[in-house]
Amino acid sequence: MATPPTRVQYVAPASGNYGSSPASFTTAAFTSLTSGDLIVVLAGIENAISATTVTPTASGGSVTWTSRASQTPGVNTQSAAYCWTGAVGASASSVTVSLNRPSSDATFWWGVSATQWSAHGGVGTTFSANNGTSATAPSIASAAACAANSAVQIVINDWSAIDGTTRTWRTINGAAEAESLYVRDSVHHAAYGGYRLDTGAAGTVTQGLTTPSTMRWVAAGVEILGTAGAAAAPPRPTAVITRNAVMRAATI
Amino acid sequence: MPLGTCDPASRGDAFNQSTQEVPLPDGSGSVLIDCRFGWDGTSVRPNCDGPVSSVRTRNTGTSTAWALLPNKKRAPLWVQVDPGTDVTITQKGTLSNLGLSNYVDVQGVGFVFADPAVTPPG
Repeated sequence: MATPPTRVQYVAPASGNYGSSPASFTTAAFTSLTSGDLIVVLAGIENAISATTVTPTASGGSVTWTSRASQTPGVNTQSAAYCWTGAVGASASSVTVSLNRPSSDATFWWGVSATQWSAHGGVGTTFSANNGTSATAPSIASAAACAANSAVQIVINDWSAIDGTTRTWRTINGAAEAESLYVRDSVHHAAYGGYRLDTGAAGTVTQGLTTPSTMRWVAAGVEILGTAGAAAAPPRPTAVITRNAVMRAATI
Repeated sequence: MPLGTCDPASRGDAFNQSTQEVPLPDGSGSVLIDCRFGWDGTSVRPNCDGPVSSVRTRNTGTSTAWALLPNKKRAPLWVQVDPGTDVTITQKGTLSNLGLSNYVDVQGVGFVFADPAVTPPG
């Protein structure tokens, strides 16, 4: 057993998020960051051509960013999705996160969000997948087994902009993923943000939705590890090495 | 960027639609804004425009939210969405009075959870 991390605050741009094409977005401010916290930044853009490499910036907190997952098919028939994590190196208040548009095409609608986690054990495995130009429900399995009692996050961008008025998130550890965002414009794209605070027992986790079932989707996400509890999880060499490596890095 | 043109009929739809729904920070529910619009017959992607046929706001929680509409043609540039409300406006005159006649007027929407009319101290 472990103790799941704490989801402290979710922030996003005040307006236009996933519904406009500015050169950059800046989120609302985190109330307070503490050294050792983790920030997860998720982004998506309606079209994957003309992609450019971007990295978030924070207005304070001495944040060190790492790209964790991305889906950049490089074609104009699919969207793109991105996931970064930021290790907070210094406590700070009223910190905003900014990201430049991940494309040189100034017409593509896109968006970004940032989530603050505390009492975490570092970053675990990742989630990254797309369904090409097919029409299916998004189903994104973790790249490796998740540790017990982690949290997970995902962003899904639907090129086809299928109507998600009726939508069903996949079940993880006995409950549906919680939704942080649903944006859809029938002319441009749709975007979904989801998370689960406790993935339960160790093992492969699958994020996504079962409805709508005809999306042309890309997705990127990450596992946020919990902290070790009284009874350790059964040994799983790959995941344990990953977790320990990240925990050492976070301690430095 | 789905197939088709600015004409919703090109995608087999009766109308174009722009929707955003997010949870309230207090976890009591979610807030939604949903705009339906047509095509003006001349605009082309990615700059589609057309007349708004309806604007719906819904708040399933117990705290107030404000939908920011930065391109709204009349102040204030937001709509207050009170707890437990589900309101749909379809009358052209009302939409016009709100400054929400065309699709470009409702683009760039977002939500805030503190009254935008109140200037923070300091």
